[in-house]
Order: sequence, then C-alpha cells, then structure tokens
Amino acid sequence: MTHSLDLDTLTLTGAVQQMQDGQLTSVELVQAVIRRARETDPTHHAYVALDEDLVLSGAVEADRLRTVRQAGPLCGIPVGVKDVIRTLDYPTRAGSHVLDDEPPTTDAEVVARLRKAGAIVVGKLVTHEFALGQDLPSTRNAWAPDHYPGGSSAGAGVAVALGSALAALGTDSAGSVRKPASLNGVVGFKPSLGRLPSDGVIAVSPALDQVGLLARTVEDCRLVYSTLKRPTSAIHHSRFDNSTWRLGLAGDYFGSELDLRVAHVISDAVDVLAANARLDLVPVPFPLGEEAVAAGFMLMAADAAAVHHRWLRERPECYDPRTRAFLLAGYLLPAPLLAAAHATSLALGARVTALLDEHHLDGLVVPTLPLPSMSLAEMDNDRDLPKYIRYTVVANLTGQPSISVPCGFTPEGLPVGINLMGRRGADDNTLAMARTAEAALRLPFHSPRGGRA
Amino acid sequence: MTSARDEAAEQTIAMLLASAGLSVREEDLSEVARRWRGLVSTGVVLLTGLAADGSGEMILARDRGPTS
Repeated sequence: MTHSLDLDTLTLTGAVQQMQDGQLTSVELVQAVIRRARETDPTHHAYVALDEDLVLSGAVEADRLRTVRQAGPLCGIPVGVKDVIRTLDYPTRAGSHVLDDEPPTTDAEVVARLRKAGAIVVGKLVTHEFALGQDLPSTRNAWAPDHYPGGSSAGAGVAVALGSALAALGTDSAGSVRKPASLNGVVGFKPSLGRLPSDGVIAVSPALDQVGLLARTVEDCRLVYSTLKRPTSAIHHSRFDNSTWRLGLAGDYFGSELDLRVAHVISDAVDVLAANARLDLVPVPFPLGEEAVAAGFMLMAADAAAVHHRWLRERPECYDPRTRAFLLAGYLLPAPLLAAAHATSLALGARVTALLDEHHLDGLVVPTLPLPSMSLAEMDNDRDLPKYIRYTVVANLTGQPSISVPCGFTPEGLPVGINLMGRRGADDNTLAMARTAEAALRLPFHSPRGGRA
Repeated sequence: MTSARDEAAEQTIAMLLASAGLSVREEDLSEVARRWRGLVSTGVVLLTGLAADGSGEMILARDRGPTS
C-alpha cells in the first residue's frame, strides 16, 4: 500500500481506483473495515452478524482475481446488507425471532449481482423488525449516539457513515433508505419501483418496496446501482452529465411543518443550487396533505399483514408485541380505506407527472425529512414515526426514483439531507442531477470520527 | 379500566381474527384495538377526500392539481 488508508474520507469509487492502480489491496481495505467495526459496533450496533474470517477470505480471493485480471467493477469492495435481504453465507433474521430456526438457503438476486460484480458482503445490518418500524432497534446515530439513527435501514446508514462498510443495500417502503441516509450524513438512493429485483427480499408491501443503496457519494451509489439494475427498454433517454437540469422546488415541502433548524440548512443549500449554472430551480405548487402518509400506512399495514399471514398463524409469540399488534390491526382494516389508499396512490402519481410535464421539469427538489434526528430519550415511535416518513413516502406511492444527498448540519451538528425526486424510470438521470447538486454543494464526505468537514 | 364497550370491541376483534385462523392473546387485545383505531383514524382522511358526487375521483387529484 502506498496511499494512506483513511476510512474517514475514503469513498467506494476512490477505493476502486486505488485498487486498480495497485495502491491498495482488498485485504488491506477489509482489515481496516473490520477494525472499524470492532471499534464502533459496541457503541453503535450497526451489525447483527459479521464473520471476520469469511470476509477476509473473500478479500484474499478478490486480490487473486485482480492479479489474473478477472476483477469485476466492485472487486474487493466491502458492502453491508440489511438483514431483510437474504444471503447464502449469513442467516437472515429480519430483526426478529420469527426466523430464528431458518437456515440460509439462497442469495437474494441483488446480493448475487453484487457478488458477481466482485463485492464482498461484510455482514448483515440491523433493521427494525421486518422493516416495519414498530420497535426501536439498538442502533445509534453515527453523529450523536444518543439520537435516532433512522430506519428501517438503521445499520446501513450508520455503517456507511462510520466506515464499517463502504456501501450498503437497504430497503425502502416509505423512506427506509433515505431517512437513515439523511440522519447519518450519507447518500441514500431509492430507485424507481421495480427497477431492482426483489427476489429473496422479505417484503413489507410489494406496492411500495424497493431495494435501495446507501453510500458516501452519489457516484458511489451510481457505481453500485449500475451492477444491480435490471436491463430495461429505455423510456427515458439518459442525458450527459453536463446537462442542465430543470428542477421544481415543491411548494408545501417548505412550509410550516419544516423544523426551523432544517429549514435554515435547506434554504442555504437551495441558494447554492440556484446559483449553479447547470441547475434551473423553479418554484412549483405541490400541496402536501395528510393523504400521502395515510395511504402509505394503509398499504403497508394491509400488505404486511398478508405477507406475514403464515408466520402470524404458526409462531405469533416470536414477534415483538408492537409489531404483532400492528400486523393484526392490518388484518382488520376496512376495505374502503384500502381502496381509497390505492386510488390516492394512483392520483398522486398522475398529479406529479402532470406537474413535471406542465413545468417541463426533470424532477423536484425537497428536504428529505422535515426534522433532524431526535434524542432517543424524547422519541415516541407512535407519535414521531409518521413525521419522519411524511416527505419520503410520496416517492414510494408514485414509484419515482428519489435520492437524499447530504447538504449540511444543524447548529447541534446533526446531518441534514436534500432530496431529488426524478421522473419514474429516469433513474440514471436522477443520479446525474444528484451528482450535479452534490458537486455544487461542495461538501466532500467526512465521517463523524474525523469531525465535521 | 376497560369499559364494557371496549371489551365488546376487543371480543369482536378476536372473533374476526379467529376467522382468519389467527389467535390473539388476551393481553394483546387492547393493543391491537388501539392500533386499529389509530390506523382507521389516520386513513379516514382518504375517504373524506373522495368526491361527493360519487365519481371516485379524489379531491387530491381534482381540486389540487398543478393548474389550480
């Protein structure tokens, strides 16, 4: 190794480049990541499983493949996997005792693709039980260990921020990738609905779920995404990265519900973006009523009840009582509410498309979350969880790609993210516009262990 | 203290879930009922958003479109 290995600033793309240049080996990188996990996990609890010998043997093999010129685009890169995504080498427990006896049998398709690209699965990352957000997992925020880490991909956001993984796979049904990304100061990308395969992923709601990515930069996300995405007939032509992007500043997202500390950070970020020659920002009306959160909850509760039917019948005692009560309540939802939730989802998608068309927009710019991370001592899941999904759930209902990019810190030092929502199916363009925004914001990644940049 | 009305609601919930082959512990019933009431009170906004003319069109789409 000729370069110093600084996990507080190293990006996935930087690591790939260093390995290609012969300045870094996968073994060196993985050893550093394991050391970081040993140092941070006793306090931050990002991982539920991490087999050091297994990870190191993967790194040895990656280095061998590189010497015989058979390295994939992610060869030797350590990536964490949320514990609702099945893996062959680790059991998948989904944060629950329901699956305690289930042996690992397969890799989810996204994990298989990750491995095919050469990535090394570091371990399984903490999630709320079955990604339902009813319990509070033990994970702690990377920037403030007495604060909420976000969820349900809690371990994913924290591991990437701290450097115990360079990227992570999560899942997002109402914001579960973008929320921990925003609260831990990393990038979180939820692709368009259906853009990544869901085989081998334990579902919350097939109508809302999408595997997503957490990484330290937009380019890191793009690189991982490019190895996972399904080939599609191109509806949206990908544009060159030097394009000018026309983005709508969506009305009610900037309203009175936005926490003042977040509002200041977002306002400064919007000023920076508006001054960039390649970003054309246009205020547009976007009423944000109670409907989106309500529709999201109805679909999640009813769909999850269906997904869990067998387990609820066979081993109800294995659930956390809060999760079990939520699922059983989902069984009893009046059918008209579910019908109205589906209608709302369709209407919202049509309205967003009409808005983008009318104003000739490539996407929308909004705050990722209306509030920063809360102190866990003050947090009440029933009361506060709906606040955290209020902005993000829209893209789950409409199926749009949505990406949270770090844009600053509150005065208390808590990270804030800004969210770009592209046109459904235009995932490459969404990543390109996010990269433009990230470059304009000039906030290079820095882990909390190295202090604020 | 559980009122007779709450108790009746909880027994109804237990009966409905039993019809789907699901058993509920006695001590869980009040929490399931509380969650159910919470979900319904959250979701009812979706029904009040339905157009009064019975067309099924949502106020969300009809009255709050980008041109309004």
